[in-house]
Amino acid sequence: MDKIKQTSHRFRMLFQTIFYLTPVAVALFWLNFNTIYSLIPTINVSINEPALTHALINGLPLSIRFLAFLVSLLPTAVFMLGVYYLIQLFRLYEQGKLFTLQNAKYFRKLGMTFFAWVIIGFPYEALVSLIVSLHNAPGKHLISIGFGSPDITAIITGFLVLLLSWIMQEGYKLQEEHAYTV
Amino acid sequence: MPIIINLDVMLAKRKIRSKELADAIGITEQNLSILKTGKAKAIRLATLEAICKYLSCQPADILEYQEKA
Repeated sequence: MDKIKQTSHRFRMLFQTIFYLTPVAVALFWLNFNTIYSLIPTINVSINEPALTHALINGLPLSIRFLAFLVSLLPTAVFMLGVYYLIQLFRLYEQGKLFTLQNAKYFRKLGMTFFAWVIIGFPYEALVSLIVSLHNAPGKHLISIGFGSPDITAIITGFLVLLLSWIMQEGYKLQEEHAYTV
Repeated sequence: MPIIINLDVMLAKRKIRSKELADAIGITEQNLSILKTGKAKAIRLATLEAICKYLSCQPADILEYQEKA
């Protein structure tokens, strides 16, 4: 049990770090967006998004980047919510509470976060593609909406986590019944 | 819960303490407390048999059904 508590403590600290660094990372990304283009040939990233490619080539003014940052807060908030639930889950493991109803509740909320991630992706992609292409010449503005394999993966993962949560809840009920059988 | 356990009454009638009964039938005082306070979700027939044997009573003396209002 001590090993579980120690490991859980380390993971909780890791997720707390990720939680606080995420908005900073997103802000830094948009702040240095124009500089990132210069890194692309060295990191060999292929970008299929036309609006983004144009923006990377020509650079974006600060106002556009600030708008894009604000819109990025949508998926960032969902991501941070998921990390928050992970922090709470590992806090419970740190306290030696492995199979309580509270654990099942946080698993369920984590599963729902995956669905929220997919749902929020639609307005985010549409808004960010529009904002990034605002600086383009008239007739070259773009709105992009897509549904791909990462979204399907997120949905499947969400269902699996919800299933785990349900199994944990049923397991807790069985455990409670056993504990209160004299 | 509709099933009421009147163990306290029977213990008082027989002038036996909870600890004595728990030791006699081989369950912990905590488990006996769960039984007395109505928190039990199930009782094994072996436990019921042991209680009735020690207190010289019938299951109906300990278990009572009360319909919920």
